[in-house]
Amino acid sequence: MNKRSKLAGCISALGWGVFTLGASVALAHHPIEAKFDISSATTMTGRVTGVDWRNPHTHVFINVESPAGVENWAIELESPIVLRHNGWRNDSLQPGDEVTVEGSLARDGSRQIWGESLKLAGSSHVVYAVTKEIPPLPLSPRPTPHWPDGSIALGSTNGAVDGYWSFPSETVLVEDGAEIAMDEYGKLADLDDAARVAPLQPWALALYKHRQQRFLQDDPMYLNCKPPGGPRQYQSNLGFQLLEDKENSRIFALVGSGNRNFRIIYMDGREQTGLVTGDDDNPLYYGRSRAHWDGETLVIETKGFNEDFWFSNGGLPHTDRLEMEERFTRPNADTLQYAVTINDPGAYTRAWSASWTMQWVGGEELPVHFCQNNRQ
Amino acid sequence: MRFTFKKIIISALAAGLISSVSAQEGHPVKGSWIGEWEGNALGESVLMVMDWDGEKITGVINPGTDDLQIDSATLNPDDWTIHIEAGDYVIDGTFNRLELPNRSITGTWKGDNDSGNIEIVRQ
Repeated sequence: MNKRSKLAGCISALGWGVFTLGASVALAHHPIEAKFDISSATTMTGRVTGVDWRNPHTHVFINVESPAGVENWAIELESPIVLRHNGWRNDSLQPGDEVTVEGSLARDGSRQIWGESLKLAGSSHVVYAVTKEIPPLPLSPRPTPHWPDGSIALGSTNGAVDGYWSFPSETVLVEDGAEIAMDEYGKLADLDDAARVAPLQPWALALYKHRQQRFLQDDPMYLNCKPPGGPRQYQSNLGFQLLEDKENSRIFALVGSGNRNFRIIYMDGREQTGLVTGDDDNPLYYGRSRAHWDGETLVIETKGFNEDFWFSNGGLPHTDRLEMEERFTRPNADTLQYAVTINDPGAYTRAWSASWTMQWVGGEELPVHFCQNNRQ
Repeated sequence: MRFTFKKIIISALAAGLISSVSAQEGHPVKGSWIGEWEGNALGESVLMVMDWDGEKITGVINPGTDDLQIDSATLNPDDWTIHIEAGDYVIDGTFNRLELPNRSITGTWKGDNDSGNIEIVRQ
């Protein structure tokens, strides 16, 4: 091997090393199927050696007796935010506890399981389970809160941080009227349904299918911990808050799942030309949003998006020609109705719409969720 | 050999330095592409800029020097191949690593009198 070949080999090895490291970090947060084979249901029993209670996913480590000796396995669970909502705490399990886990094995053959349920061995006591059900609304709807000037409050009327919106009725962007089987991350049950999700152009349909066939593992929200953009901001169970700054005629959309990112929605009638210095030739991650009230509905027009993100769970593509009209209505204190019209002639054959509702989570602050390295 | 060596370098950098590449999750052709067309009299380095306006692919090869405007370009999403015609040149290539921002196109180029391999990597 000559010097040049050795150098090339080193660079190649370095490159793949960085790539592999990046991939392992990136998959710290992911659609389940991207990392685990849900068709590989397994059950195993072992003793807890530790609990790593952190975002984006908690891990429980267990020692499992096998013919080859003791093996240490990692059980991956939901984030502490979701686990807390389901009554779990970081001390719910102690080292030495014997547990039985049911779940799915990792695709790469490593000793990891996605934990569907976790019970104390020899008992029916479930120490970990997550309900995906949306909590029921109050039997008697509470009236929609208003500001002193009579306008609808999109959050708390005092502007404080004592509530947020969560539990979207849909977690995947699909054209209104289409009934398509998929999981909460947007993974289609049948790839043949892809063309029915939205009126995709041929290239966009092929790219969407490609992402689906790769189990959504290339999603930059998971791969690079990017925040959700576009309508995806409102399809996370980690919630969001609409903070109205009436004095400065703007609304801040604070994204619970977005590493403390925020989007500004201007209410002062400005042109969608970006900063006052003018940068409308520079597309932005959240685009440029301005809004007005149409009766009791907040209408937001946004354009000027870049193409750095997936704007939906499931991987529907968009282009920088995307323009959105979003409509927020609060028919009662605990319900927020959301409707969006997607107009992107770069990726779709026509404009199309989707809608869903969200529920008010009162008495709590917006969860602090960082994609990586955030302990709570 | 030089071409092979450069190809290895390009592949290694493409695989390893993902964070240095600007994201592009929209149309796969959009962006700046740098690479080599082997044996081209214009020089083996090639730079392409391509865009998608919703109906057609536009772009230029070696802007600022050769300024070869792309006359037509067709993407076949069934197999992710692309056919580009620019002046006297015809390029046929296939997308690799489609899912990554640093995807590449490999294939062949053909001019009036010459032809060879081409590999370009999105930056």
